[in-house]
Amino acid sequence: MNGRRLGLRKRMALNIFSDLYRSTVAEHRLDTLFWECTLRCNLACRHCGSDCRVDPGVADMPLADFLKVLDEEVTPHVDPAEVLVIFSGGEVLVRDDLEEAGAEVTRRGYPWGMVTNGLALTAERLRSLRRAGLRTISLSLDGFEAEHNYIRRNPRSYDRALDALRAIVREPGLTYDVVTCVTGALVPQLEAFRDMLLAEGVRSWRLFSIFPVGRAKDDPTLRMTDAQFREMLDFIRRTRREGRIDVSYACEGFLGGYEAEVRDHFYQCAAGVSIASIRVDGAISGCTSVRADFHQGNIYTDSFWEVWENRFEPFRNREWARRGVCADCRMFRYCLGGGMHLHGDDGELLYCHYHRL
Amino acid sequence: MKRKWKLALAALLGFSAACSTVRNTPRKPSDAGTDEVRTEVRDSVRIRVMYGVPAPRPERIEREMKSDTTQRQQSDETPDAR
Repeated sequence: MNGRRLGLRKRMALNIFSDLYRSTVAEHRLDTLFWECTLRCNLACRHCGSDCRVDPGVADMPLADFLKVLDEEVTPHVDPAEVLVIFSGGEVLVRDDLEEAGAEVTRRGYPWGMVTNGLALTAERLRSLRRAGLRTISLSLDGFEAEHNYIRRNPRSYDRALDALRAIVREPGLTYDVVTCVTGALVPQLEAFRDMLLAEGVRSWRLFSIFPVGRAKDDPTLRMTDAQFREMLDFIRRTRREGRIDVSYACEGFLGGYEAEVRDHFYQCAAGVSIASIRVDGAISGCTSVRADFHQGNIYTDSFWEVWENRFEPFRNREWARRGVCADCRMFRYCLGGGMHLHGDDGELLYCHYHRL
Repeated sequence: MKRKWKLALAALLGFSAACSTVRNTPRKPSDAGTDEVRTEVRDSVRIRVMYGVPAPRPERIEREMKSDTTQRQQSDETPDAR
């Protein structure tokens, strides 16, 4: 229960933030655009919320279609240098035209980045992507070999990811971090894993818990108990105070007394507020972690910018989420019902971080 | 002004960084020509989202870093005047 407690100072700051955040929502300035360029993947991870696989039965979006949206719908309304384009999947490295895509986005003035499982990220491929303008990258590493390979379901995945990490760390000028999905099995090893990352030269690390969507939905081996969840947050808080590595919990979930202690900023769900995504089938939504049908339009039938400006109501006004466990919760003013990706198609909250504390 | 006072109060409370994501939103291109002073774009205020990536360092900083490295190399190579 102690993790829920908000001190007076933090509560006052949260009230100020909530007030200011309303104007951020009203402005909804786009600063991040995901392009879900494929749902193909070279792995079939146990926890995949997108249910990605080698053959997902959904074709990749042609690069030309995405560029058309950039040129005709986005660029006239933004400063490209201020909008980060993120290539998302699936595993984006399966696209043979990834360098072409990166070069075209760079040519238009947009910084771009990508997330990868590292299986196919050789040093040579990394150099090729850097020549195409890659500026930032996140690499998934879900623990030591046993834990990582268990989640990734591939006996080579850990070694390949480690090789990729070493190439990334040595690449001058590339912004990066390591992202780790924390299971119960990893919690007792977090200190050792942190030390391993430090020894490899990693200085930026994000930890996620696995939310029950997609293939993760019915797999109890992927979950942490509430006690383990708190232990993970305590670890993050302690490690941040040490100052040797910039570690944070993922953006999701209001964390009560842990707010501003396990992340650089107060909790907010920026999906549909400053973040949009173009899904592989053209659907327009918030960030790609939102798997439920909160699609606001489709680039093949609607104007992306018109949709961004005039729709996205469920993302920008979360009163619809004031139901179920949120109906009478005093924290709703701060959490607004939690991350959009934690809601099912019917709007039901799949789980509440605050109640785990 | 009210917004600035709120941000100042957040800073006094020790939560300036935690409130950084609502600070100094840059103008859209359509606002060009207004009297409002354009504030500096700060990549650091961008949230790192679930399947996202850290904000890239601003290219200005990267250029400065490269320039510093080049100057140091040239300084090391230059013989003493004496």
